[in-house]
Amino acid sequence: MNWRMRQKVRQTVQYGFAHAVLIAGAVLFSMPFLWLITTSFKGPNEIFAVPFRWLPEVGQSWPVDWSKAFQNFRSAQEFIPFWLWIRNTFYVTALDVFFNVMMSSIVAYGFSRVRWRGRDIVFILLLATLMLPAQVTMIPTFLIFNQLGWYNTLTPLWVGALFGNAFSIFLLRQFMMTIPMELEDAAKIDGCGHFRIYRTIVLPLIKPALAVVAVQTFQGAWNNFLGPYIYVNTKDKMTIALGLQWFKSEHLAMYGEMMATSLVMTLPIIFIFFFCQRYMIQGISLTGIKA
Amino acid sequence: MANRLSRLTVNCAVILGASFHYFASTSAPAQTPRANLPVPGPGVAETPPADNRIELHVWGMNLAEVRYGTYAVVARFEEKYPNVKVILGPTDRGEDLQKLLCGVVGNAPPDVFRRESNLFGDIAARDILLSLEPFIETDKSRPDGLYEVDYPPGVWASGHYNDIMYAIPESSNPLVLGYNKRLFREAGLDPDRPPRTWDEWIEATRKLTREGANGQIDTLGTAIHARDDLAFYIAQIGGQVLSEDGRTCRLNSPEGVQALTFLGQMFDGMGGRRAYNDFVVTNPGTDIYNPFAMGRIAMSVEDDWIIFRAMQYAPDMELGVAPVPAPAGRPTITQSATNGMYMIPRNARHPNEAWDFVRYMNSPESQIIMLDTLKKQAMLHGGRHMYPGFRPNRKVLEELSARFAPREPPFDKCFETCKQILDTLVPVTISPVTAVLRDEMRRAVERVSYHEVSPQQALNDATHRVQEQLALFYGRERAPLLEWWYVWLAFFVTVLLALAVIVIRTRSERAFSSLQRRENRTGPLFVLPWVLGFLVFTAGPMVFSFAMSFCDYDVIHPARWVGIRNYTSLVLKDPLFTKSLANTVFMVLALPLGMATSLSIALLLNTKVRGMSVYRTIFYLPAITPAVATAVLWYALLNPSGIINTALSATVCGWLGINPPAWLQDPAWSKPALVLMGLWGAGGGMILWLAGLQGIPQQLYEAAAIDGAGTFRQFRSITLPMLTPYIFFSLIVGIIGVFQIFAQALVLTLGGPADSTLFYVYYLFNCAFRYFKMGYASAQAWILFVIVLLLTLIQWKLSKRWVHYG
Repeated sequence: MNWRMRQKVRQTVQYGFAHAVLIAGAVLFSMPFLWLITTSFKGPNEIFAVPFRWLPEVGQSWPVDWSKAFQNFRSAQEFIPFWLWIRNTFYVTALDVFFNVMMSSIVAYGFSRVRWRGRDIVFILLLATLMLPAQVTMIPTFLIFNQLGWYNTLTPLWVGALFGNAFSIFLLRQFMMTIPMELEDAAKIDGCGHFRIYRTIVLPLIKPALAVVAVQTFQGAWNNFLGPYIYVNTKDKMTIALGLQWFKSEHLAMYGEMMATSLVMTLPIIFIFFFCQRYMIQGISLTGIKA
Repeated sequence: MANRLSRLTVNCAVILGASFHYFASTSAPAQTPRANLPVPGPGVAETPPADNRIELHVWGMNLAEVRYGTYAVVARFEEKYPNVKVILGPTDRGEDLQKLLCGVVGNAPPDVFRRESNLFGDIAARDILLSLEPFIETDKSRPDGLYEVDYPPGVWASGHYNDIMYAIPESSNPLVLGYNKRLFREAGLDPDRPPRTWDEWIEATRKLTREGANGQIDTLGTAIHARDDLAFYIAQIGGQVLSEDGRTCRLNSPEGVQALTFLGQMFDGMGGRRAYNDFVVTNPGTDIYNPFAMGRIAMSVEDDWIIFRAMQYAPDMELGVAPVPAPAGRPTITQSATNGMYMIPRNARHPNEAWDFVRYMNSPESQIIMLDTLKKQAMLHGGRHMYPGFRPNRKVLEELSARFAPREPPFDKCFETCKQILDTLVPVTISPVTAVLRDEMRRAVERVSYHEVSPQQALNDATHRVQEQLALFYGRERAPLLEWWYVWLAFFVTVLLALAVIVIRTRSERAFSSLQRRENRTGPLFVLPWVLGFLVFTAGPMVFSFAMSFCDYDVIHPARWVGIRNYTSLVLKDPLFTKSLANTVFMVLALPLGMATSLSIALLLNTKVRGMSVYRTIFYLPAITPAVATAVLWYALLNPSGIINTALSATVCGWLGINPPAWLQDPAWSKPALVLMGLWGAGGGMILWLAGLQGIPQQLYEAAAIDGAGTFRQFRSITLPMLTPYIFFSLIVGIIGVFQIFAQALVLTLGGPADSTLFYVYYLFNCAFRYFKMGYASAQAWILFVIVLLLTLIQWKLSKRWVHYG
């Protein structure tokens, strides 16, 4: 066997091995989601039946009675103002993601690409704001939002994004720090201002990081429970994560409907992730730069 | 916007300033934030009130499967009271007082709320509620009034604190002994003669507990929901939990020791606490995962809703209901398990209309409408069962049981028995420290059942802690009121000092060139948005909590200065604080494991294999599955006889001949179980590494390959160094996050078993929102802050050595 053939055999073995590991991992990691799917199609007495069955009863006979299969989805939709709450959730999430990606990257630029006096100390202060458990600042924070007239509105849920989120800023700073400074020296010599460097040089280079921030913010805002729970009172302003509580009461929980709703509300996140991951793995070419 | 900002500055002063006695001055013309709500988001604008009706905000109504019943009753109420429009707010969340406290403190409370009775004493004792006495007085002259004579004295008393009526109990759920007659017969016991005394009960429990082939328990004798019930067993002996005046804890009295010894014997009779835990999940909220309904528990002490749960989940069960056995020579009694109550906050805007609502909700008419609607609904929804429950109001109870009591045997008989048991109801203890009392009783039962300490010792410790809390409550006014003037002074001195330090520390960075001077101007401009947000929304609350950490502050009353007492008692005198810190440090030590897992996944997913985008999405799935779904799922998986253990028994544990761990039910394995759950969500961390990996120039690998470096060498010399900025990020953010681990304890374990998952912030949360010790919690928060800050600063310094930026 010549070198080339050996290389090829080795590659095939590696490729097969990678697939095997990936499939095994995928089985393990998709379990909660598969469970969510199958539970969404189960009847109330079937969900916790022992032994556990992956295939819901309705799927065990052929042909499948589809109207019966989607019973949970239908009754969930009758039960809660599903689309109104999805719309509210989407409104909050969209504003949160948009402002957070924009403002956090601007602030992160100031913490990484510009050298100014006291920068590191202010940055430590930024990190420090994350270290105090939110439970002890909840009441005064509530009082501020209440004074601003934002009680029972959706504003408190996204307004923080206007000022950047400390986690996102930190993450984006780390990415920006890895971009070689030489890259913008030329631009500076040409008299290019910082804002233009940020927009035309830095932003395109950190697309993967922006995608990460977007996905994480989206997920956080979409699933946010405590925020709406504290700030929202009435049905017309509730979000879907908060609304899931409607399926639980003192003496009974409607697990089938709850899981069906959870499933439906998970789909947008999956979609967003599927869309964003292209940017996450977009190779960055720093051609002409010595690493 | 400018207007907003000016209001904001005013507001900061409001919060930090001396005018913080907002609650004491509720008689001042109350601002009505609801009246001038700004326009909300698109599409959700409230319809402008076309009428002049009063908006009555009601929180805590059941909206789940009984929603249509609630709607029908509310509609009828609005017909009867045409000047009122009812707005249904959030549903009750058990012990969670966060929202209620925010509303009350922010002077935007509901007009009336319904919640479980469990923390009634704690709420009433803190001046949150309006006295209902005047309403009851005027109701005496109304034909449709709410009269004391309609209520059993024990239940009526449960709405009182300090002899003042603050709450109207809406339901009354007596504790009963439910038992499975089939299992009795199989064990050779008379199915129509359940145990009557404690001795008979222990005996029957022993006989009914059966071991399966594998040495594990197949059928459990008795399920004791030990969380609240020690008080009940003490009451059975005729003992008291607190002294008559409520100021002395009597838990360690001989009656207490006798009751706790009895409970210990019950656990031992069933093969010990660990075996028992296999059956009874830590979180009692998941009643659907119900081994009693599955026929695996012979007897269970529960409230009367055990009948409904059996009807719902085990319609074929031969259910029997009996009074809970009493000690020999004592009469059988019962107590109400937690039940719904209506309360009106002191600063409610429409107390009169609120009372109209309460009265109507406790009338026969409304309850008949409610259940009639539900009955029709139940027929629509495939015949879900009707169960009226017990109402303390005699008129309501009679109407409801005549119409809606279960008809089919054996449930009809069970319902009748419960009705008789209801006559033996004795009042529960109402105290300002119920939360601590209940937690300490639960802790004592746990410690004894695990044979950690003797009953006497466990109760001595519990008594000590309850007594501390009582002393705190009754001695509060001895401390002087906090002078906000000092806070301001300290604040400005600190800011000045900080500025001075910044100037001195950054002298070396002084600008010498014009370029550097320009940078010094531009940099802060970029950072300005965050600084603004910090000053407006974060700085104030942080300073506030820091000031509170030196105070006795229960959220409702003005803070009182206690100096460093919170800090000293935390560090020197609070064993739970130390325990919670140790539990949390365990989780922090497991952090590298999670990072390594997510990095491995990312490396795997970064290879060029067909269909990778699908794989990536699948690995990300656990991170996005909603918590409600995963919580239920983890119960099913980590249950001692769940999927994971079945797999383990068949493989590793089977070969080694050992029993698999009981995971969340075993104090030694609960934290590893949570670590395991965390690893499953490692896909969430993976996306960071994926993005980081893209920043590594391919040329580096090509060059290394030409130099003959193998895969491992490439990983060590190229990948790892290039990833150090993200390792640094993960480490810092991970430490911050894990030190604040909280949700798992709240949702899954409630800190148990045996305090093994009592995490730092979970304990803090309990202190803040259940024990009304916000000052103490603030001190905890600031200790945590200092710990995490120090760790971060150390890493920051070290990072200069190992973090490699481009």
